[in-house]
Amino acid sequence: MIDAVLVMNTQGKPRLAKFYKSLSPVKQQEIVRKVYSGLSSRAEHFCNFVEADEIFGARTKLVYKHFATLYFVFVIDSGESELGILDLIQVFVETLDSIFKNVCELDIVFNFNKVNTVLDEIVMGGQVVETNSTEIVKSVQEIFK
Amino acid sequence: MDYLFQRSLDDLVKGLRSQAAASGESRYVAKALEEIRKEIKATDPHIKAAAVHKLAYLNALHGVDMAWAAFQVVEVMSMPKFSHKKIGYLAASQSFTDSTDVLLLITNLLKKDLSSKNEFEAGMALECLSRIATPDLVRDLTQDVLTMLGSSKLYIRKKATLVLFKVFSKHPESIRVAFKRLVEKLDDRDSQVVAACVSVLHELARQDPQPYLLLAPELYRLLVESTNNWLLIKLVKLFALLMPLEPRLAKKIAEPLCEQMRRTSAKSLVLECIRTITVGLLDNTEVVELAAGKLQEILAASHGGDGEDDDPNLKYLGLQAVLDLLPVYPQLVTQSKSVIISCLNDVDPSVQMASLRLIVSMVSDSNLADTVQILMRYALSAEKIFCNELLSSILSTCSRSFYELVTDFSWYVGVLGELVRVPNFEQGKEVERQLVDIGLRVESVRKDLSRLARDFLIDSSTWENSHIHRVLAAAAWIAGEYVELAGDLFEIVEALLQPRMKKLPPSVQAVFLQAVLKILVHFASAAATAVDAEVVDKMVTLIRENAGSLQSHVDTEVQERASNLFGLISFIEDEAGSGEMLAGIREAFAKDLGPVSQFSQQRVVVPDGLEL
Repeated sequence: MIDAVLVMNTQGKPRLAKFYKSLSPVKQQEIVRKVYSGLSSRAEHFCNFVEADEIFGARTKLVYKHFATLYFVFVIDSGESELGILDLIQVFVETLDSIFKNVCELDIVFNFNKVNTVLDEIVMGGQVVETNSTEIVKSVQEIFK
Repeated sequence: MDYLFQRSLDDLVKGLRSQAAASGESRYVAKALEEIRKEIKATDPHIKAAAVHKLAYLNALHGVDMAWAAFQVVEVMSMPKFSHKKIGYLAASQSFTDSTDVLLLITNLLKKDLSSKNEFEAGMALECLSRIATPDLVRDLTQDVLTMLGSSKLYIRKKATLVLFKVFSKHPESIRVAFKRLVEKLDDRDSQVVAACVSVLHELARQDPQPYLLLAPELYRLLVESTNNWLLIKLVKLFALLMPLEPRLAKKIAEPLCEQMRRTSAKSLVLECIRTITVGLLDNTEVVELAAGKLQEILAASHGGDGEDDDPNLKYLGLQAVLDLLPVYPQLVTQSKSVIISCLNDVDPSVQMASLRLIVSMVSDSNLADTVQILMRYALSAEKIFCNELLSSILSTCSRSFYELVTDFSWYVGVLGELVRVPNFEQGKEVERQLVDIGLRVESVRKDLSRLARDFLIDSSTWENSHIHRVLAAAAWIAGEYVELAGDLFEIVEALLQPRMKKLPPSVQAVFLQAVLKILVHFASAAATAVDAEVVDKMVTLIRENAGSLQSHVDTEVQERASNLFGLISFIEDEAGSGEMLAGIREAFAKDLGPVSQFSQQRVVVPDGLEL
């Protein structure tokens, strides 16, 4: 199960925050802060996995990728494959790239609804629903026709 | 009219970005919220929807609570225009909880949208259901979802399949009705739907695998035939849950599992296959050999040779997998030993931890000393958090099962002494516990302990680290308890009463005082000659000078023990009859304390007539 998907910039400002478990807005903000502090100390050549037991519970991990000014973070439990989810982050980013033509942080900032929609086409209720970027782009374009 | 110049979400975002300081930002948010509260009451759908859109944004990214607007969110969800509806659904998905009372109002709305001709509208309703479903909603909408399983559109079928997980979780009775329909999806013509189905089965099986065992033949077929990587990953994970329930299953899937491992180029799948093998196929040498071989490839790939082309992900995951295979393939570890140990030094904390876990699981009584030495060496140069992970590992491994692995306690006491001096040491409580515990259990090593205790008490340079304080308490206790082994008692009392001790926490001071008492009793009662008597006098004077003020210490325990001590002193000085009394007290202290078993309380027979 995917517990949350977060996109935040390298200053810790959240640009997308989707939680697949019920949490109060205050708790959500706290988690964003904790995730940021877990990631900001990591150098480029570190692995893309951080054990997140203290933030999300036993046997949870942060799977993350750093692109330019943004961290894309998927929080998973032991039911997911780490490398599989890493590939999924790639799919997510490539899809955003197709839709926004060389996506940058500002695109995400000003397209709250659309970016959420892209994610909803990939992950539904904490489970993966589609892994093919072309399919996802097609659906999103139809939705926002 | 008020809404003529309503700020759009874009305006809101731009406004937020123009705020330089955090305080400016929160004021801006507060102002925006005020505007939203007015706009959200508008009858004009465009204005209401825009207000909800802004609110959803603030809720998701600025922690603003929007529970108060639940009713308006439902209004927006009910709007005819798709783009408005979508905003309502977005807001609902992220803000509705089990306790949102307007949930009662949306059942019919969802029903309508679920059966919409527009697949994206239906998909939107499914997405919402997957996040906010309550038992009531599920009960009312199960049939609608089941109908969607038969849709001609792949888009609908895959989403409807996934929603079934939520349906079954929130309303378990629906499993009876719907299970068959879910299982049918294993035969769907589109692999995305099959993948969704396997994903749901896997999640359900994680809670209780038994009911899904009967699907094994179907799942076997998929394992043999499928080429969809995502599906295969979930399938392999599902088998890992089912194998422990049925040993014959493991035998059956061994071959297709190996075939997938050989064929695939996806390391993600290979690693999941290895994980599954460690769950149920460890007795199959051929399979294990293949897995070990694949793992070796992965580890080799993870090390570029000069550190430049290292793949840190493969390093981390590789180490975890070696740990899983350890019970049957320890050769992997010996073959890669130097690599594993060098990972203790890796810059990446994740890799360090994986390596540590692996090393700890390889420990036996024959390699304990070497392992501890290695861990200690790395602890000296590691930064604080990992240093303490290393020290904590040493402590827990050595004390496991009542020190099962330790053959030479004298050596271990030495280790504890070294440990305490490591710069980032923070394991005070555990070391205290172990020092006392070992003292109680291992008579032969009490002399070593006493020596160690003396060293700690005298070398007050280590006292700087506040984590040492509990260790000092243990040291004082040992000095007092095993007083016959202590060596130069005067020196110890001097150390126990040095001015610095008053800066220690009261609980530690109390232990110090008690130790002084025990030593004094021992010494005074053993004083036979005039020379000894002189030393007793000196000791008493020392105590008077340094501990006098403690009789009026703020902490009651310290006060009491200081008073006891001084009471004893006046007793000693009043010569008549003190000799016998002292001997009596000394005898009481001399009795060996032993460890108490945790089951002792149970063994105490309850006397008749006592109602507990």
